[in-house]
Amino acid sequence: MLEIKNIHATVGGNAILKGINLTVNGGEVHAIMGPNGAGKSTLGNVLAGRDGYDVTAGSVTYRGQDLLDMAPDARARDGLFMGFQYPVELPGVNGMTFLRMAANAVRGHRGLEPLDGMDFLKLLKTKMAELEMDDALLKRSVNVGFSGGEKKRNEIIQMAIMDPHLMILDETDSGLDIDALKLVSQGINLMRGEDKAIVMITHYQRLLDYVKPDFVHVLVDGRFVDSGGPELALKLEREGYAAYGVHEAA
Amino acid sequence: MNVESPLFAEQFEAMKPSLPGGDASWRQMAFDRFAALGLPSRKREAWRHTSLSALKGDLTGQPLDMEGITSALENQKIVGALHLVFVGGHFVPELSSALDGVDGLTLRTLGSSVEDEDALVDQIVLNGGENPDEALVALNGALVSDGAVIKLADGAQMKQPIQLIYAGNPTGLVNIRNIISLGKGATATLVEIAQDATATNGWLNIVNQIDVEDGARLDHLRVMADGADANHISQSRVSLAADARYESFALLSGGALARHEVQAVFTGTGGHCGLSGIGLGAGKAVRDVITHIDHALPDCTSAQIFKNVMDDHASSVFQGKVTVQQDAQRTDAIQSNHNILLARTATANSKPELVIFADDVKCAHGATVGELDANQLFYMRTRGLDEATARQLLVEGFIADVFDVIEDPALRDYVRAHASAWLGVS
Ligand SMILES: Nc1ncnc2c1ncn2[C@@H]1O[C@H](COP(=O)(O)OP(=O)(O)O)[C@@H](O)[C@H]1O
Ligand SMILES: [Mg+2]
Repeated sequence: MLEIKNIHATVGGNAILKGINLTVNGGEVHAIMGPNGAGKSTLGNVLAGRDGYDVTAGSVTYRGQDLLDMAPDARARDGLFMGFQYPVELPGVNGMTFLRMAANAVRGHRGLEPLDGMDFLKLLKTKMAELEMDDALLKRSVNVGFSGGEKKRNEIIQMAIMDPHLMILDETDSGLDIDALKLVSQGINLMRGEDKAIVMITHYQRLLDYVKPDFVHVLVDGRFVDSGGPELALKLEREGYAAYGVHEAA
Repeated sequence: MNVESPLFAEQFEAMKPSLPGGDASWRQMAFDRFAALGLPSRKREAWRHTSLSALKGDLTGQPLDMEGITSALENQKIVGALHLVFVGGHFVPELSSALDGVDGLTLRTLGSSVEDEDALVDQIVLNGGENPDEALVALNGALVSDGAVIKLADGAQMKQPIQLIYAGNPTGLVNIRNIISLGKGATATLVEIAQDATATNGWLNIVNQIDVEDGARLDHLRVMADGADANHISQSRVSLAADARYESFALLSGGALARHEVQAVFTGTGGHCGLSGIGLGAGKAVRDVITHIDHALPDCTSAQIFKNVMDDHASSVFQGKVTVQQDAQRTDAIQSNHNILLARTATANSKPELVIFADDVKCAHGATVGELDANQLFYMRTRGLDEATARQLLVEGFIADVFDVIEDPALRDYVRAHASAWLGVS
């Protein structure tokens, strides 16, 4: 699904990623953990294709293609979904309209007919029932005036509707109370499948109680310094990143 | 000023006989006023961004080919409205609704009112043009060919919008004068549209004189969606009596030049004046909005919101002046102008101006100029939307709230459709 080979990346001239290697296969769930400023979001942005994140070395192959050569929207249409740490407000852009356009962009790429308003509502109803969420948020402008938790829920709704192959979820658990965390986790678990892969970027292991990862990687100062199974996340929770020379305020 | 031969003097003499009221003295008086003023130069603040030099040629222009006009008009007509169609500046009854039959409404054409020597009309046609900025109002008085005279009786509630449709304007200059008065407590909606109405390099000069009496309300929508090389200049002069309400929305989306000017004055207390609009421009288009609200009396409110989106070398102007006179205590006046530039070469000129002589007032204004937000565009692209679609959606989102001031959903959709046409959104 995804093969990252020795990626180096700079932001504003500063070297942030310093040789990242990662292979993600269909059916797998990976967690990337690390202290603040380690470069987790930078990795997400590089994969999503944000301007200003310059890859100076290395390669990324996604479903057999050179990912770095694809425009951000082409990546999205081909099933790469980025869940944002800070979802962006779009004043005046109706949530329902936006979601249908996103769904139809993906469908078009897959050679499917666009959904009209009625068919889209049917799909939405099914998905919302699965997610146990209601669509009140979608009647407003995208993310405008949403609480932190609502923004994250909205990301999950978008993910469910776009039905991606590879999901990169950046701190999707941050700022959620326990009920919201359960709801969001349930949304992520619904996306698991043989032909799907999930990369969860998180600062805490709390999310991993609800979405069990197959692999946990530790990112410090732009490099992976450790890898393991779910037990590694528990160890990090207990001991912090001191073992990797990082001292964080609690 | 050249006293020997003022600008347009010969043309005025030649055109007069074919205009309603031909030799009437008021025409000559209006022309004399214009002649004394001449075309406003760009040295005047209100005309700084709008050049009239191209207006100096032949005012009559080429006769028109009516072919195709009729079917285009049908698409512009608002279902259920009363339609008054003006082709080349002249009312065309065959294309219009019947003018009588609505209770409380007296609807005439300016042409027929003038022919009947309606003293009121003569007087009103003379109104305006003393100020050098109003030279085109004077010129309009001198050369006016037609218009609508709309009078609502006290208490009349017009459910049907009255729609004025301008079409088939030749090169040269077409002058239309509309005179609208709403009696006490009356309500009405007036829609004007000029869509692909004017020939290349032609000029459409519209003056609206609006009287809203005590407790009456007028909703006024203007769609300025003329063809690429047309020029559309308009001025609405509004007087608002006690507790009267005037709500105006203008879309400036077409023509080389679209200029929308509103001069409103409160002649009673407790009135409200809402002015709003959207300017959309590409190429070298100019979208010029000039407003002046005169809070002459206490306890009136005004709210203005204008947004512009300029691309290529287009430029927008917003000069919004609010005057609060010494007596006008408890005035509440807000004004905002927000601009997005889609290209580095586009410009936005924003000049809100508050002149306050009273002490107990609430006044606020805000103006911004920016580009589309890169962060928003990226977010949208990660949801599969290509860049052009994302930009369109953001622009639509930017202007969306201005449409909300239009209360009637059908009319809101009607106006929005014209904006969407400009944006290329289906
Ligand atoms: N847009 C940016 N401009 C400048 N520096 C940035 C930008 N984004 C991230 N950085 C820097 O890159 C480093 C890694 O940041 P980030 O990837 O956000 O870390 P994490 O998500 O692991 O907390 C930090 O030092 C941060 O200051
Ligand atoms: Mg981060």
